[in-house]
Amino acid sequence: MSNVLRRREIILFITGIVGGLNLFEYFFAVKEAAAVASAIRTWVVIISAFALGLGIITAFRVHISHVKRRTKGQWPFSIWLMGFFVLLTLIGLWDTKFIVYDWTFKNVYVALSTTLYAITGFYIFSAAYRAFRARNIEAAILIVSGVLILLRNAPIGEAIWTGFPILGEWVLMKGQVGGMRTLTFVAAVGLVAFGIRTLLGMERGYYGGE
Amino acid sequence: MAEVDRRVLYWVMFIALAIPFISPLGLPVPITETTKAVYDKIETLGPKNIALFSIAGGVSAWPEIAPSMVAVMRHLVKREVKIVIWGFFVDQDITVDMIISNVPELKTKYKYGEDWVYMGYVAGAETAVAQLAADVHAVFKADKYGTPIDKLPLIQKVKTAKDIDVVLTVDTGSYILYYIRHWNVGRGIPVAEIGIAMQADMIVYYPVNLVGVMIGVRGGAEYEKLIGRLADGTIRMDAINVSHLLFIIAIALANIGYVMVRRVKK
Amino acid sequence: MNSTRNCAHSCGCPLVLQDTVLRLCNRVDAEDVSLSFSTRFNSREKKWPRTRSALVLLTLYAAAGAGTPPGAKLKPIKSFKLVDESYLYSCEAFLGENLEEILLIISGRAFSFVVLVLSFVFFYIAIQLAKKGKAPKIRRMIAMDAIDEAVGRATEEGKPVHYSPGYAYMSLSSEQGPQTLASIGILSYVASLCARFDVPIIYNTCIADSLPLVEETLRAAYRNEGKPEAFDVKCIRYQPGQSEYVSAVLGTFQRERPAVNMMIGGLYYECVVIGEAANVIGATQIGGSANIHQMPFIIATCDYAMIGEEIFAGSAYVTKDPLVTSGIAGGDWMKMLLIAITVIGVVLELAGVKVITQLLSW
Repeated sequence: MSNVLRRREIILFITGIVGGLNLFEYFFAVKEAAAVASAIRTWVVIISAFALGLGIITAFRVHISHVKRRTKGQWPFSIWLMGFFVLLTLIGLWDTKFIVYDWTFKNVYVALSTTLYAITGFYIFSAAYRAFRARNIEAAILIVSGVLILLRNAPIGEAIWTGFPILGEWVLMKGQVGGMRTLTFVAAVGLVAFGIRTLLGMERGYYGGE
Repeated sequence: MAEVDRRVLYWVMFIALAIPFISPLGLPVPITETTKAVYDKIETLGPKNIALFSIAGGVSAWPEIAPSMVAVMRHLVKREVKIVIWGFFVDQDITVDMIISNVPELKTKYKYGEDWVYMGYVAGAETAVAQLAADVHAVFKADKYGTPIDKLPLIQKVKTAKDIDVVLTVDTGSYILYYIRHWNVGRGIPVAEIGIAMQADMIVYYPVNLVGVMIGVRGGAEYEKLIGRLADGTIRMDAINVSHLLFIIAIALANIGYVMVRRVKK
Repeated sequence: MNSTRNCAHSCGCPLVLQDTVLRLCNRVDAEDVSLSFSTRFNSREKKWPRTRSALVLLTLYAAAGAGTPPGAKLKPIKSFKLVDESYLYSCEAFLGENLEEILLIISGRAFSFVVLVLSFVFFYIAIQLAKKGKAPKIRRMIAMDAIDEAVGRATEEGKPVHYSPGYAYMSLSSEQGPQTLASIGILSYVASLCARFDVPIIYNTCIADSLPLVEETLRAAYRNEGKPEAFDVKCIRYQPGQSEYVSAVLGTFQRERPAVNMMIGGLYYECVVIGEAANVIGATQIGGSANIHQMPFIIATCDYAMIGEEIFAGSAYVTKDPLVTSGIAGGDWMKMLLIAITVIGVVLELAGVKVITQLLSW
């Protein structure tokens, strides 16, 4: 039975029908189509919510195997993760305002999330140091433009020279606009082409098609 | 100079960023047009207007967007604008709690249900934004705390996008585009963004659709100066100044080292 | 509908037609309901062909569009009537109230619909050419060609390959969803190579609803290489959040030291963190995203980068199937047409003719 359900034709049929219906609904003012498409979009949200459960199962599968195999340097953390997950889930289901849950969320989760985000600054710093070398003319123009925008963003630029914000503003609001709009435009057309290939069944990779 | 250990770079960065927090530099913060535009728009609003405060950024982005969020909320409260809050991130409750703790007037001066409401989390990204534009009551049957919408006079007045006078979207990615597509285009609702630094060029692509963009920490610092209440944003601007200067010095040193190495190799 | 008919008549003579167009531009507004032209034809020609009539009408319509005052909407052509009398041929076009009344197309989306239909047409033409053995040539995509080399390197070093699709708003139904699907398409090829050369693959993700697709893709890749028993479902690691996913990847890099890092999909701030962490361990990096705000970071951190639409073309490119790669050419032809419309529109707009702007908002 699972082999029948996995048949390529069924997947392509469902993709084509659902995709075609949503396209039709977007362009044509047909109330029935709008109602069906809206219902399908609601199903998508429900499926996404169920997928969260699937994700947790996947995560547990990995960590349980680490515990079973006593993977060096990993298995204590796997126990810690699974234990904490179960504990906080139970407390949260009982009362999200309970002090342990509330405190953990606000003081552990928030702190760790902001730390991870803040790490970006350090990594950008080392990436800039490593990668921003004026190997050719284009790289040199890139570096100069980047520096001008840095000085435009930071008030210290204006304190050093009043011309920096003007130049940086020009680079940001005019100099790079053409190129970035081109990239956006091209990516959008590429996305449409990808969507059409998917609807026509020419894209097979995403569902493991043969 | 061409190859410095990363750990040295990280220590230098850490020390350089820590200094302004210990001993603030107090550099002036010029106001940019994009932030001023948001301020001017809110200045035109009053007790009869309703602002939508949409949270589409997680707690991880607080370092960049929290000062802006708090400053804008203070301004809205000062102008006595009615506020509807909803969001699309699972951790937004913490964000709302943070805003309330920084803007206590929401509890003391404003009456919940009449002057402000928090509708909670809505799933669905662009689909949800589009559906909210067409029919808010179809999406929300109750607020975050379970109060049915027929017991909330403010949300009773907000049925579609046209009942909102300005959209302020706290955004770390694409939600501003959803609001532009579904709230601004066709319906004409003004949209302003409170965003991270990466969205600095958003105003360039949508100069007609966007009222203004508050960019990262700088946007927050500028807004604090505009409302006359300096806070976290202004403090963090010194760190921004130092970090940007450090970047430029590092790039310059890296290139000097690179040129010297090339000369030696020749 | 027939009230206030403001008809502009013209003879077939070009000079009079020009005069008509000029008069039309000044007189057609939202209230007008019809356009018409009539012509006397020479005795050697019994009839004006329908095509020529339609072309003249379209020209008048375009001119009317150019002359429509700002804010007023030019009404679409609902029907036209041909009157064929001896030596006189007239044609009237009755304009409808709005497009939805005629074609059910929602206002403001008709041009997009036309573009979509044209895209399908271009695809059809490209596929037909490929079937006849004249498949359009696609340029080399260096980043995609580098995948073979990268997996080869992982084989030599005996280290795994790490693949991640980025944050992508943690959902396939977000606007980043197509990038995730494109990423999974490329994953299929990478997984085939890993299965062939017995290289372990590690897949870290925070997109829950992509997990069944990823599992099936990997399983199918191993099955197609004749090694279904080699597939370990535990190579797929899920983390329920962006920060969690980033920290998991950093931990993976430190513990398992993959030789290759591929991050292709809807990347956000994690691309610079993961990219730099991979540089620390000396991994070969291939990155790609259609998120333009991440372009600088991908280019700075990755050895091979796919910019913008290249990730969408990537999975078609690696199949080397002419029928599939011809789809890429079809998309490129569409792009060229849109660029041509943009250029013409800019030129006309500068000349004060707003026909393209009107067309785009049709």
